[in-house]
Amino acid sequence: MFGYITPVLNAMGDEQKSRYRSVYCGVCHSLLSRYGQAARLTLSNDMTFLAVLLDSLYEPEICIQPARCAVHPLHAHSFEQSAMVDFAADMNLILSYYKAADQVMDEEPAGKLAEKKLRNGFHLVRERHPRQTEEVREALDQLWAMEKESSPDPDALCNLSGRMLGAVFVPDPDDLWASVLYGIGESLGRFVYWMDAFDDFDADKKKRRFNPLTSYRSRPDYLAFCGDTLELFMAEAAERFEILPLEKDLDILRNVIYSGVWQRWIQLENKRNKKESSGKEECSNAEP
Amino acid sequence: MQSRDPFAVLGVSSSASEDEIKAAYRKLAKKYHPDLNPGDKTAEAKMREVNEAYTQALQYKKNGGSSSWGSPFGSSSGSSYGSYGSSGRPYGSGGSYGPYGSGQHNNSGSGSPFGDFEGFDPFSAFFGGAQQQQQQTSYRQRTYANPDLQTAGQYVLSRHFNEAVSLLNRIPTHDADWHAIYARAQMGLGNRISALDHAQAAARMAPQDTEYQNLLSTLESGRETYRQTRSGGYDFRSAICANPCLTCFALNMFLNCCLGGMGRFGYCC
Repeated sequence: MFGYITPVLNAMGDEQKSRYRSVYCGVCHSLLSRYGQAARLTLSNDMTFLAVLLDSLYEPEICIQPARCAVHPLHAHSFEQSAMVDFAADMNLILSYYKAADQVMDEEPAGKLAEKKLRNGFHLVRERHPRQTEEVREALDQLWAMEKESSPDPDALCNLSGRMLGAVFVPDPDDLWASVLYGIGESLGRFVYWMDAFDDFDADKKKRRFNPLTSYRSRPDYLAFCGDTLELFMAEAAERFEILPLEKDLDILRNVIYSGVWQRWIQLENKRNKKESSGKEECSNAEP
Repeated sequence: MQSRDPFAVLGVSSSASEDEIKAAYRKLAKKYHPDLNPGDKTAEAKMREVNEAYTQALQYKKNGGSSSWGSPFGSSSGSSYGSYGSSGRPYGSGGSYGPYGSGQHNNSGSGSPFGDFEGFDPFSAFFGGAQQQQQQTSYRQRTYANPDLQTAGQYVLSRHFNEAVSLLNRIPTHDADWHAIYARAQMGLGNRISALDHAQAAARMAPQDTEYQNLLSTLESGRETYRQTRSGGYDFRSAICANPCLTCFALNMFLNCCLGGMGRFGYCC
């Protein structure tokens, strides 16, 4: 939904990259084959992380297939099919549909088309996962209501975002690991909401939109405080993540948890530094 | 079954790393999984034992050698997801791996099915059990000149966090004591941002007060573990592309094997 929960690509070896890609493409393929082209456009890295995580924990039966697609018509890429990949795709659709539905309420033209295109798929997912759908809706209803009232309580907003992401991290509430998975999603939900608020601050100000960080912005330690709170959320996510008995893809998952989630933060930091020194610096870290 | 050495149950030495413990657990879980041993009571009992051993061994590692800990990771105590570590099912109920099996679950009363933040135990989430005891004890001994602060402190101790906050909001002077009690009340409510904010303020205003310094450092203690694990081989921040550039764009496209992706939330740019 936000795209912050992603690995540092440049730090991955070829094997890891192709493994991650096969799940990414798997979620994409799952969306396309079951809900059509429009659903595929909603694909996010966040839910790819979820697919890799659940795949590692539950080790469902996996089918790896080669496929061609519009972006890569010449080379066939392998993509993974599994119950967990399908689950992550479903959760992706729930989150995307509600995002579009919110835009419709705000009378944003982009939302109207998306909502219409995703509606059929969403109804199918809702039937399949009534619990997750209902919990996401409940949390988002409250979240949006509070945002529309320009709530002065950022904790409440972060906690609602946590509830939303926590709900989609749990395929089976009766499972032994359900509460740990929920906890991971919850902490990540707080993180992405707060990160998004930080990321959007200037744009929101320009457009006179609500931003939960407004009351903190004038503080002299604004940046440090944002960093501290974000790190607190991630430390909690990591603590919960490390409870799970994972082996498969552990390096990819830890890449995301310990480094990848900070990509946007570091990019913004670099941007600020660049502005200050106004020196020119080319990107030298990326692989050729 | 209670007192068996968890490391022996898992078949690893007590010097095993957390990752080795995880691997050992997975191996045994696959062996004794109810799916593979339908109706086998011995396997079921063994699975339960392995689950408990895993919880204990991991906690032993996290506490740096001391094995005392109360509730296993039970941060969401009101959770209808059942508590981790108590059942013999590592992978799924009724032997089902998939998410599509046992559909319904009861929403337990209040709005949140997971237990709202009244039921959430922030202390166990932020701190280990032992630290919590320490926290509470040193806190209890404190007396305040301002009777309202005294009452608010009592509210926090009796876990009436909302009452504490509304009382504190009526107190006009915000000194270090006020901030510290406010931080504790917010922790009780599961409000992490506010808790950190006020704990920092208390520590800043009373730099000599060890209790307030401790309050802040316990809140931030998870951060140290996070940073340690990261520097133990998962710090890839230097590989993060600093500026939007063509290389990143190409990488982005390379991963977006399908059309689209998330527009503004591209990889690097």
